[in-house]
Amino acid sequence: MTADALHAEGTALLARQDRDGAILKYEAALTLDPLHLPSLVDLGVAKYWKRDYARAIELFTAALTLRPADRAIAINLAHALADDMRHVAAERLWRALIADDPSLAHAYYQLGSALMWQMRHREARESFRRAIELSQGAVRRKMWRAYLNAFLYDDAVHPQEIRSRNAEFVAELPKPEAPVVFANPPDPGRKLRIGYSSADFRAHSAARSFRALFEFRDRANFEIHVYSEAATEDSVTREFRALADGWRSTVGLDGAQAAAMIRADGIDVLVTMAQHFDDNRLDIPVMRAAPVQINAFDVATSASDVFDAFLAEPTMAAARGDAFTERVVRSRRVYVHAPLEAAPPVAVPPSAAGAAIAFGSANNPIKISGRAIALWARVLAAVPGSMLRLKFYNAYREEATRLGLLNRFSAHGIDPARIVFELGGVETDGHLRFYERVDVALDATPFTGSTTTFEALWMGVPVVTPPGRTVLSRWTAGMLTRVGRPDLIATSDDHFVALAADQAAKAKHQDRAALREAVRNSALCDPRAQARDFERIYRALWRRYCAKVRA
Amino acid sequence: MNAADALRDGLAAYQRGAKAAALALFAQAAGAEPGNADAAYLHGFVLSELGRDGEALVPLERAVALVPGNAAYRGALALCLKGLGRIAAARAEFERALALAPNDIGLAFNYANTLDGDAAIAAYTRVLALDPAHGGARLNRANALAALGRWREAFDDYARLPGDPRALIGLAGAALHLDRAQVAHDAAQSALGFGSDPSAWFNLGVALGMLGLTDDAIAAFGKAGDDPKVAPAKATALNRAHRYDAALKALDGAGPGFDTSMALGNAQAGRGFYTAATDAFAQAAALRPDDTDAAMNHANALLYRGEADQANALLARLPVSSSTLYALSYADAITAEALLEAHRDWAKRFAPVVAPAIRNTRPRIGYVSADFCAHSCAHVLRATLPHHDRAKFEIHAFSNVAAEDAVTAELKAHFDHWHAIAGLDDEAAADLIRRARIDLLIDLSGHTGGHRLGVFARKPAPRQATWLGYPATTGLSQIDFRLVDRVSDPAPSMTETPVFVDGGFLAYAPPADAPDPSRNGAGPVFGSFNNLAKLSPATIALWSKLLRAMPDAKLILKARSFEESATRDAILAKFGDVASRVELHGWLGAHLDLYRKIDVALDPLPYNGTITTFEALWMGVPVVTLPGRTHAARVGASILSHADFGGWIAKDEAAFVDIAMRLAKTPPSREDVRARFAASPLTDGKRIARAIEKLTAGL
Repeated sequence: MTADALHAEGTALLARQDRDGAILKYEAALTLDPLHLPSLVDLGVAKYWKRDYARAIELFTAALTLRPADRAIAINLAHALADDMRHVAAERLWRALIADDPSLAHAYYQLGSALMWQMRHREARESFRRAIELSQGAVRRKMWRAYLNAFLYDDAVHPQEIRSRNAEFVAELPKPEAPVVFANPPDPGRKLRIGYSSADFRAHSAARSFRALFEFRDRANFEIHVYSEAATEDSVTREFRALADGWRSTVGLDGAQAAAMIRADGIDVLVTMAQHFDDNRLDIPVMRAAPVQINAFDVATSASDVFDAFLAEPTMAAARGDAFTERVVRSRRVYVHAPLEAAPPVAVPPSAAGAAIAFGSANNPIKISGRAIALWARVLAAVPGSMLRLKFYNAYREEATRLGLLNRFSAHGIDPARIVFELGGVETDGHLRFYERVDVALDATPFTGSTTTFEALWMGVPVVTPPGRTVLSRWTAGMLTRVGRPDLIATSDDHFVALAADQAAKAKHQDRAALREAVRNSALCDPRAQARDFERIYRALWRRYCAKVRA
Repeated sequence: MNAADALRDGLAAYQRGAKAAALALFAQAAGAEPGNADAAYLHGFVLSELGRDGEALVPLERAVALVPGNAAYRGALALCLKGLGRIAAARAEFERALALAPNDIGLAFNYANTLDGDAAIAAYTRVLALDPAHGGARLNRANALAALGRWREAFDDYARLPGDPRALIGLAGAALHLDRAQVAHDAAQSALGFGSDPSAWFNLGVALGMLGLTDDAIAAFGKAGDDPKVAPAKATALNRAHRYDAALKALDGAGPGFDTSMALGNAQAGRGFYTAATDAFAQAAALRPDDTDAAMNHANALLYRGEADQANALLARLPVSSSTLYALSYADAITAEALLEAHRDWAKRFAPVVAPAIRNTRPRIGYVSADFCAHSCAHVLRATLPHHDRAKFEIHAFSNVAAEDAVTAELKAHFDHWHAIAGLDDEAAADLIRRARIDLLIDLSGHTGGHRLGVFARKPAPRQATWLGYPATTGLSQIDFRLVDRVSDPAPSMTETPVFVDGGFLAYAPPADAPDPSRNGAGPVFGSFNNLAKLSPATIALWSKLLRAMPDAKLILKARSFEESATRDAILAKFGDVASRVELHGWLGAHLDLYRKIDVALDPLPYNGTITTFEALWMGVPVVTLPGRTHAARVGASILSHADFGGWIAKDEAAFVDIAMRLAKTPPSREDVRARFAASPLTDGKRIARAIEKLTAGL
């Protein structure tokens, strides 16, 4: 059999969803002819989908050597590099692709992502901005979201700028041509139809935040309808679907169509979630889909005037440093977390076992801003002999990434030998074992840890959070307040350093089991209370709407 | 030696400075030639100069007798008489001398030095007319003016003697009396440049205290010697910084006197001991029956220990001031018309002025307040200021804060520019505001302590408004707008143009660290955490009625004033037959926690609670109010109606009792109360920020 024939068989198998079978055929083809181009490329793609990025990169690299001018191969390679967290290499490739075709919006988008991973926020924003200029429609909205999201991680950005940039996006979204009139009966006490609009009804950390609103809702008083932007469905999607009274997809609908559908469904309160992330849609509430609209689970202003409330926990909104256009409504329990029952048992702090003091951060390196590095460096300087462990899946596998970070610590006079990078452990359990090697967790800023903070606390490790004035920079502070540890919230940079040093000195005597219990027993793990709080706000806002309509 | 030679040699010796030799020679000449007037004069003159006025008198009188028309002889005789303590005779002699030589500067000055009060001032003024550069006359005139309390004129004289440490000390003292602490501070510092002086240190201490630099002030007082005025001044500085216990300590062992009693009263009032404060102010008032500050403080202390009737009787006798106006809002019987009239009368002291024409492309909004600190106003500011659109508006603070604290630091973040006006007099502050070119100037004090309405009266900004902190009109025609709402002021009674803010004229920033809303213990329990001054006789009568209607109910009252047992006893007595069911709490640390023991909060009248009501609602506790006709009596209704709790507003006393009992029997869910409040416009300060920004363009 020829390589061509084997390749054709492989492709036929792939068409029947038999990816493993296809892989065998492509491998066989390459045994016959190691330079068989179609097999190199298609096997690379198959391996990519199997998340064997290393092999995919080998194959695409070989293919590209054969056909240096083939942009499709280069794009595949760049994606594989990015997913393998080789962002420096990916950046180089995307730049080459852009040099070749400066109108490639997607390449600008990907270049922006690669730059974000290298914490080069400003350059990333420039690249996303270019991507916006080059695209239209739903793709353009996606570019906007990437661009606006990129402001959240940068410690040099003023909240007012976040608002101005978001306002530019809002300005170009279509608005209703005439004032929208709602037919919803303005009865303050009646059963309400709540609509939830999100792209995250799937296995995603955001879904954990609002799952309880479905599971524990007050069925007598609230009906739940979903407006899902999830392109693919998984088991989590199916769970949500089973809990909802109505389910509609908004994929492929424009804002006006989706809003018309929501109005026709008689939704009283539309809740849009985590607006600054994923494929979540601001264009739908901008078309005024429901009489009451709430912006929930977001971390910065939408800069639009279509929301009746931006929900925030009191601690998160306490410093009032944001420039919201929405009115902030304080709700005690916006966020909840499910107990991590599969987690390993809490460990003995390393310093109690005689090891040197180890600080640690398992935050996404995108969150390691210049300010975070400066603060962490001050902590290391204040605690001689200590080290800092960093881990986020395989984010630090690329030497260039590691060197980049080490240079930034060196600039603050920190010996690179004190920074320890860890790799691997995608599964939750192995991921959480990181905390067996950490005495005290240091939080990032301005975008603090969320899930990461919860995991550290669940593992009984104190998380010291830097001072912040925005909702975004006080996420950890909110969590610490709710588990009864506001003492870990720094009020100034000096205080942060002193707190971290103090926690390090006390690490030997940590009662990690007690902290885990405190977290387990806190309102943070009380999903029913969260559901009640949200419903109280829905009802209160609805009453206001009714009073306004009747006046 | 003949007389002529002796006189010549004597003059030569005198000019060499050999006064003893000169005296001998002049004596010789006078003895040799008794009819020589010059000899007699010179003999007497030198004796007088040497302090031997008793011996000088005879030869000088002889000289004058010999040549009555010689002004110099008479001048010397007058000085001698003055030296002998015969002031009236000296004055008469000077007058005769001046009649002969009206333009003799030395004579005129020496004459002035024998006078007191207005006559002295007129005499020095004459000297200065002859010689405007006469430093001695200017200094002495300044001292004479200061002795009469004419501080502004004294200030101007002292200010023209910059190189004289005595004048600098005087300048500092005058500046302190004119509330120009910064000038006083600088002058005292300059005086100390010439050498240490207890008076300079004293003035410096007072100035530092007024500028809020309390620790520096205490250090300065340490060098001010043991003058009896030091201890009360030190206590005053400590009072200003709310360090009342330290103030009391500073007064320990201080001699009795007006200043001591005032400082003591302020310290006791500051720590909530209003009975002790009442005693101290009464003593001060007895020492200086005409002092309005003492009488005013006395009345206020009475108000805060729950003695409204006594306080009002005292106030009625006082001249109208901001303090007497403010006290009117607490009075049960006050009508909206009388309130307006009283404020209008007060404002007549200011002449109408022309406003500057200012229109910035990025309009500037200036807030004037003494309460940018731990004060109830801060709750409202915290909810509002962060919402200003700083891209379009420039926000200025004109701070009259006496002692800055952590809240000041927090609030500073919400301003583009921060100007301190504490220590500047009204004209200087107005000038600062004019130079800052403010489009809209907002008063946050009304007639409450530390207000700067005198600045507003000068109209340093084209548009002026009053908003917060005071429950009535300012009375000033120079203030254009007052922010209120349709519930607080349905029939506006004010000199300003009312601006009705949609959603209510107030806003509240709920504290992030408030405890969860929950109930602890058994009911029914009513409560009020309003200060005691608000518990008017009508309030106590109504609440007693409620307790009688519900025999198993308790009432918890919490106020600073209840720290003191004498005050507690006095208040319980006013509750009469229901006193056993009234529980009094002093100033506990865990303020909000106490709401867990309360089922229903009661709003006092006619001066309703504001922040107290907000706090109750945030803790999920319903509040019942009985509105009256004045703004102060309608704040409760404003809050409740805008927070979606209109059903808790009573139309009369019977309804008040009914609503309170119904809520006590079936309390609403605390979580629901908080959520409704959280979703209400009252926790949305942005509305107010927008309303204020709109005012920059007028109505």
